[in-house]
Amino acid sequence: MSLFTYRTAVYILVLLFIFSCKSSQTAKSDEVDEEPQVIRSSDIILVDKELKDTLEGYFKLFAKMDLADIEGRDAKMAEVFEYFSSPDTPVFFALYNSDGEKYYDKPVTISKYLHYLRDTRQAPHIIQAVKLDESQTKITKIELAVK
Amino acid sequence: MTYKALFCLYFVFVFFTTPDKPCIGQSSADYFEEEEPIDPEQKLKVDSMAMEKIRDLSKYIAIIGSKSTPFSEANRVVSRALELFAEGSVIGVSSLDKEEVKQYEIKKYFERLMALSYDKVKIQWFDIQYISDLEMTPDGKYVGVVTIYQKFEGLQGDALIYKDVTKKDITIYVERKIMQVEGTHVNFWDVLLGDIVVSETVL
Repeated sequence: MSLFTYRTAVYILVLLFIFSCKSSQTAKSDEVDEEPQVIRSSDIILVDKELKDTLEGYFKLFAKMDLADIEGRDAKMAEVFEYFSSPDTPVFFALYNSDGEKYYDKPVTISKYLHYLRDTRQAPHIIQAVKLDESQTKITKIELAVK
Repeated sequence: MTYKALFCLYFVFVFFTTPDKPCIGQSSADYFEEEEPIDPEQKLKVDSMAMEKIRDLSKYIAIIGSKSTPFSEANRVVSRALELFAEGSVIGVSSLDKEEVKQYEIKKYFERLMALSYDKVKIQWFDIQYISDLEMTPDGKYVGVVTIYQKFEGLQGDALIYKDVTKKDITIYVERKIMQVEGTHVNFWDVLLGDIVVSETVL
């Protein structure tokens, strides 16, 4: 085998090796959902029971709130916002999982969600997960699902 | 030899830089050739979610029409209701004493609803159901039609001045989209309501 052919063959083998590595990685991520994932501390998603109960209590309260009581509504909204990094904190509504991917309804902000509960007179969701900020005191993301 | 090495490196570069998924801001509609119909269980959830938007609208309309709703609140709810609609959607409005069905842009309709000259307005939607299931179109979106019955009552004092029941058909568009939140891709189903057509008005 000439030097030229030998080198070309080596290049092709290297390419095949890289390709097989990537393919096996993809297959692995598709089939194994249960394996522990490496996550950063800022990515940790928690559902503290006390926090969950408190917030779900607020959700029920908004669903029963008198539509004419604007001041009461605003006061309660301010209380809820204390738990969140801002009134614009995103709220996600989980629908289903498919091939390891989660599908949602269109996200809204916590501010819009509280108005939604009050306007529609219902609290149809439970809290599935919340993500806290670095200080572990404010919610930066909340995920809900239909009861 | 240098050319061959560069050639191989080029393939390695292209291999690792080709995205596996649509980029941020590109909806699945741009990739409709890859879209496959969702399985029946998932579709049920999407059907149900879309139907919930119609129920939300019915509650928003009741608030907007109610004379006990403060003006600022009615305007806020109008904004929320408008978010449910695809741009350019229209709604048909009928009455028992006119044969003609007038078409209004959704925003105009809500403004007229707020300005109705009754002391009290009651609007209730009932028998909400799909008359045409959500079906996938060639561009990967789903389209369906929901029918509703609307009971309208207008009162002056305690006297009922006008009352009718209208059957309306609402087109629903559902599309799978991707958005970016805090650096991660989020798959979501976007539901938008289209035109609302009057199909029947009775006492």
